[in-house]
Amino acid sequence: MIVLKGINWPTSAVLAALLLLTAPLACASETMQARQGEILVTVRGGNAWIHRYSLLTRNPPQVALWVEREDGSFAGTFFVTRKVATGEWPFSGGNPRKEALPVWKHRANDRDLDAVTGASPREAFSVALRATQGSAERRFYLYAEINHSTDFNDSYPKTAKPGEPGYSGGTGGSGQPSLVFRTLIDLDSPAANYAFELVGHGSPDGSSGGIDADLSSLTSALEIVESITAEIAK
Amino acid sequence: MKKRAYGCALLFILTIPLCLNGVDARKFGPGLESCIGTDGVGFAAFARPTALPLTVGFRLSLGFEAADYAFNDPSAALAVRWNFLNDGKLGGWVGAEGGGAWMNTGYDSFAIPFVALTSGISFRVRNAFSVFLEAGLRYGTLTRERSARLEFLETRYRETVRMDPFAVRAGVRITSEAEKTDQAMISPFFSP
Repeated sequence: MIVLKGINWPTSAVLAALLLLTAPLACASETMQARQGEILVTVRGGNAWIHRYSLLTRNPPQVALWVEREDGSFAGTFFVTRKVATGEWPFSGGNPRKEALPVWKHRANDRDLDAVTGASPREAFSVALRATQGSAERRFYLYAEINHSTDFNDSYPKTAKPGEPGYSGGTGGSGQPSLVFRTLIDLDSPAANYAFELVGHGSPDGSSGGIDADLSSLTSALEIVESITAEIAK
Repeated sequence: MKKRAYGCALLFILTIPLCLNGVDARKFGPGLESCIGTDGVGFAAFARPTALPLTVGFRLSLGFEAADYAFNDPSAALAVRWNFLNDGKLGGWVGAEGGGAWMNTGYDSFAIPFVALTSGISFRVRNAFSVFLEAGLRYGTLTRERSARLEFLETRYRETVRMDPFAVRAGVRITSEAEKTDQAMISPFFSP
């Protein structure tokens, strides 16, 4: 049975089988070497980086990396996975899935994307940043928001309905909410290595862009990321 | 473990036509193919330009990749096959092919060249119609670096795109009268 609104198991199975049969390429982002003066942001996946989405598909998470000034004003996205960037989710029946990366979504606020957009990385990956020549911004925050679809647990069950506690977008929704990481970069500091800190999770249903510091309801999501680091090549 | 299973399956498929090689090779005529496999949905035309059991062909496919989940990735390839088996019912070949795929990922587009070695078997079902299974190994990779400019930062990112290394296809063939005639003469028991 194929339905146009929403998604169901037979549709997923048919689409996944089609994908398995006819997928001619795989994208693999890479870790890179920093050039002098660059800030190299490296995301390393943990045990739950690859998640079983359906019977035949295992997915890496959705990722957004962005910059904010010290005063909290948004200053641009430097990497975002394609589905989040475009809001086109092939198995969501047209649902834009605002719960996928809600913190980034609210802060980017539909600005024109100036970011590098890529396939969801299956392995550790890096993005290099360099301060624009003559820039007065010497201290700024780097943020990362990462989330898997359908990683439901007892606190965020698949069966939760809109308005109920733990609702995360329904059957094809987020499950456990996004994780938000942050570090403050100071280009005038002698420090060359920065570790991103897990500062909280995003809104489970995507209704707000706030960050909730209480991580007690998260289980497997806490194993998605092993580390996120920023290294300045002096 | 999964890769080993794929490897064993591929080796098994590759071995089938080699085991059947005891049967005298007969001439293959030109033919048309339609198939589905790891390079998408494809159509190919094959011709036999010489008296040797060699066929050369051109394949057009429309594929699908996991970035935008859309059938919008065309590829084209030239192929050469050594048809070492054709007893009227069963056919077998080894082949080489090379071409390029144009990937539309939804965020950009780029070309990847590729080469492949394949082996296939066909089974004539009725008259000029055969079904076939072809499997092999493919190599196609592209590393590219992209950059963007933010408000006060510049960014660069490197991505390597690899084609699925397993070329597996199943489909139907319509062969020419020449092949039918050969088969009818050589294998009357399998004549339609």
